[in-house]
Amino acid sequence: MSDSKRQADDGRAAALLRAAESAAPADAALLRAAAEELLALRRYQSRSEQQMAELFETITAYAALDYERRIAIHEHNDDITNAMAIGLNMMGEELSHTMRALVTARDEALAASRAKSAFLANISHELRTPLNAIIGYAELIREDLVESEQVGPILDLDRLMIASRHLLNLIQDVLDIARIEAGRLEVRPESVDLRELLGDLAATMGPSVAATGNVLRVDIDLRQPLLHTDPLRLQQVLLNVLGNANKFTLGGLISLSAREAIVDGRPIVAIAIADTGIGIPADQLEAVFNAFTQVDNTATRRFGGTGLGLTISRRLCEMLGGSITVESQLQRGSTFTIRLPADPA
Amino acid sequence: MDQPPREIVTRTERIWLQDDVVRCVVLPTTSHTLADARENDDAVTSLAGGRRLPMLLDTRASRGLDRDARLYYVRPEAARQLAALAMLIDSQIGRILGNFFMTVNKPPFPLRLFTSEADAILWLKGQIT
Repeated sequence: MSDSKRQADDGRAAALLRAAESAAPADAALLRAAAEELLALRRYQSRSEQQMAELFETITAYAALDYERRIAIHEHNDDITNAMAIGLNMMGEELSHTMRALVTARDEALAASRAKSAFLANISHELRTPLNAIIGYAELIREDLVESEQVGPILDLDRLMIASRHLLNLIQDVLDIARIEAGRLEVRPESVDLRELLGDLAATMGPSVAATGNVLRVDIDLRQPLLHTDPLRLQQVLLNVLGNANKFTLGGLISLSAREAIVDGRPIVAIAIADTGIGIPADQLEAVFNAFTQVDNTATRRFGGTGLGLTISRRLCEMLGGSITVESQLQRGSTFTIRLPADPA
Repeated sequence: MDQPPREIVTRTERIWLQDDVVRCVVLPTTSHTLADARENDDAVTSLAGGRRLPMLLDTRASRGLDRDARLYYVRPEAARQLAALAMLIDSQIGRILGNFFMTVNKPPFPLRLFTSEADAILWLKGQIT
């Protein structure tokens, strides 16, 4: 109620009481009763306003996530006002309880996340350090054996080093998968000269390709060679796929090509790695991207590998905003195609 | 054998048995806590003599009850004591409490809201098994 209205009501009540003083007794009683009623109504309105103010302040507190505020129930308030107060108090209790449960759950999730990060960091170091030591010392021992012309143990040592390197690769792949699943593997996009990157890749693969009697052909047709992507992660994917192509092809041809295209109205770069190797059965074309799945699961496992390379490659392609797919024919070869967005950075 | 008491008045409620229906009127206390809920529960058990009976609850004078008390009244074990609950809601306070028990703290026994005591008693009589 405004001050002016309050004053006006006071004025009217005063006028009624003054009029009662000079009125006939019967009229005076009516005038005094009217004045009392006016003043009682003013007091009721004032109390209601005060209670409404408390209700509004409580609603505002709840909107500000302060759910501990409670409203006092006054006997002299009407039923509906008290009902609103009781309802708000109960709502505040429920919200307070729910908020505490959410905070607890959030804190537990944060603690678990920190524990997971610490585990990944520690386990990476703890696993790789002794393995690197094993591989390093094995190489030193091998050098000594070669120098002293002790041929016998060299074969055993070579097997030891192959197994150690395989274990190291497996650990690295498992940790990569764990980091990707935990959302802790970051991609750092930058401007990359794709022609240069693919050329360097071909040079890196040169010796191992020659060792398997294969030929590597590079065919890059890009009007715009610059791509906004993470060069390290892209290299990781391409080395994995090229490594597979070289592993599953003997005395054959491996092609590395790059083309621009438009897909769904958006520019992309398609990098294809094709081989003339053993191929993949049609019913396993998707399965090869599953963790620990290889085409050849026989006991001989002559092709080696961790079974995680293509899983990681697919996840990395997705993190780079792209995709990887495969087409293949048994005994004719396979083509893996990595598609990446070529939108301007 | 002693007859069970006919009426019990706790800190927060007046409870009596009438025609095999537990009648409960909530008193206008400023608080209604878990301890009060346990006291009222014991009173109902005593009046009912171990039987599972329906209840007519009048909350028109209530000033609200704590969350712990609400949860106690609707705990699963309460279904062993109460066959059904009819709440009188011919008041704003009764209406808001009734809505809370229908939607937020749902009881493990049948609950219906009534504006007429006669209709409530008729429904409760039908719940006696």
